[in-house]
Amino acid sequence: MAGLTQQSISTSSGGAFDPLRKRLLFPAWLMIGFFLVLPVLMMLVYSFLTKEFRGGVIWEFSTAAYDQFFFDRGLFGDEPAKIEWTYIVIFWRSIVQAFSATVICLLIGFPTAYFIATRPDSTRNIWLFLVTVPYWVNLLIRTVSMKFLIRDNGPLNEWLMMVGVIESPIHLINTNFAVQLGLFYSYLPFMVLPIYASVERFNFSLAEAAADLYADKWVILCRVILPAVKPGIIAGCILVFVPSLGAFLAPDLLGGAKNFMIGSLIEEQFKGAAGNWPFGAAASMILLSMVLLVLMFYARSQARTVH
Amino acid sequence: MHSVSNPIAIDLANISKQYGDVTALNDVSASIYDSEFFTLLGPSGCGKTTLLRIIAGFETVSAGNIQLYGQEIRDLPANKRPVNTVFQQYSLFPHMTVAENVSFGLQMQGRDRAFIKDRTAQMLELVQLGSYADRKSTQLSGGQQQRVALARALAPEPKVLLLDEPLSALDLKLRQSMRMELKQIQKHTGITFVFVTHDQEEALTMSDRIAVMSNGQIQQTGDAHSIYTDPCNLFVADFIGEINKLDATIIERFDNGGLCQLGDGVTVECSLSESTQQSEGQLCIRPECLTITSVDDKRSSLQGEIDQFVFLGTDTQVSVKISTGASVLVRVQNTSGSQLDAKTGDQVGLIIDPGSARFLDS
Repeated sequence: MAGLTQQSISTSSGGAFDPLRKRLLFPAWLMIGFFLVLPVLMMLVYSFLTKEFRGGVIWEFSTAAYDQFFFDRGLFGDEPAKIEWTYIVIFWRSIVQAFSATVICLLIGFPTAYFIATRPDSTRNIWLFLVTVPYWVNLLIRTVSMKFLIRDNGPLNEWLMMVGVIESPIHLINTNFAVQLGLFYSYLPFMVLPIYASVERFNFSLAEAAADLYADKWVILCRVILPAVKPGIIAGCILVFVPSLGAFLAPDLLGGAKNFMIGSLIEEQFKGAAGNWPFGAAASMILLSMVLLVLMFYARSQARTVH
Repeated sequence: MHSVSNPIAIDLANISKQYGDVTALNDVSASIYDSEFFTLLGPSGCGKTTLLRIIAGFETVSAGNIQLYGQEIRDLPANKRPVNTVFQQYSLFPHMTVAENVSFGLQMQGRDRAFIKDRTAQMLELVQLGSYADRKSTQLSGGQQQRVALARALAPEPKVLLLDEPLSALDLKLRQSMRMELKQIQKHTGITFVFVTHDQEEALTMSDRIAVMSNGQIQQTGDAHSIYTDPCNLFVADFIGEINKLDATIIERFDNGGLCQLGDGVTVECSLSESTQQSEGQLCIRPECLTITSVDDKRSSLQGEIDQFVFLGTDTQVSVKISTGASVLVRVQNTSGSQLDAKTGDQVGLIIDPGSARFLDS
């Protein structure tokens, strides 16, 4: 909402500075073109090329990659086309995983962000710092340590047995639960930080006004606080959902083969001689279009609140 | 004027509030009567807003009791108290329309739909915003937002309406017209208003009774006239209106007053309050209670030299350096035709209106 208004202000107040503004924006356009548009275009082009068996591509137009993604034509490619479910199932699983990771991050992240934002100024930054501390460590190392923590004879199981909660180790590794845990752990701050920013800006005298008008705590949360911090929540959800959808470290290391996700599928296509670049590129494009769909959906809902 | 026979709406008994080492309120007691326009007046930091927030239920007390129409409400949370607040920054819900804002309290009370609709429309009429019902509250001007805040707070028919400096964010003209409007709405609805302000003019023009606060305590409670003419201490005398303060010593006490001596043997008759114990203090005279006359006028009690004229529109403020060396301000009304025939440097005498000189402990 605020973004849109700001944009309309800046475009309307351009006037005499327009030529200068265009020149000043050039480095930004260069960056976006070189690092965003160009790689995506390359992937788009690659997805329509023919695969080279040692990895890489042959410059020859082909829709084989998309065909392989959606249709099964038998081992030698001469049978009538059937729908190929393998990759659709992987996609569907990824969506479910990313969605539940987002929900869990929201359920844990919102109270966390709210707690931090309502601390006094003096301690707020310490809490914020504590949330971000683990993220100074490389994601791979964090995911591997998570694997060590939750493996059958790892510290978590040993501790649970020592306390007497369980008799024998519970099997966590290579389960959906482990993937969830990994995704949650990887992306929680992306949920906490935007929500924190909007709760921190929230004018708490509105909550007082609602209490003054006989609203209880639950009503204040649902009807006054949540509508006001909604942009932060949506931003957090997008920031968690999108990378979760394409994540490959957590599914690879914690999920094993049974819990394959798109990220891992794409990653494999570009690894070594067994890869298939056009197929990986096609899967990326399909993933990208899904993400864009989600973002369009969000933009629509935002536009509706403006008018 | 509201008689003391009205029932007590809010009874504050020995309220104290500590924030760590800071004492915001120190043993405050006051009774606010039913359908009275009661003002808490004081400089910023005097504790007036804290006291209002305690009545609203946003702050807890460190000690003391609060009764609302005889019911103890000290431990009642804000959303259970039948009082509503008009906030300084209005605090309208930005994602709701004007009508949704006004009906919020009624919905929370669980009133039925038809009633909510009628009451909301009625409240918007009352504040002259009937045609704005479907606007977003963020699309209104400051004055309009203020009215919506008032309508929202009045809609649930509170027993007491609390107003926390509601006019301070408005410009002067709007503020003046809103004063009259607020006063009318208070009379019209008969709801007890507790109004917090640092603006003495607001307090004097609107209130039935005023409590002047400073340093976490109520210094004096009374109607505008008695607080202005009969301040109980130097703080009140100084805070409300302008006043001349002259170092003075009591040299004689009578039944209903005394004689005090200024610096160099000039003596002035003055009134004393019962609380006056010391003989060292300040002689307080309002600038409009002094009249400039010729230096040899027998009625004049003070003599001095005119220092400066300041034209203020309706009045002229004359600064006179009296024989003790102190400066005294005199207000002369600018009536048509009459012109003050004195000029800077003239020796003049000053007549003090009978009974208007007051001795207060310093």
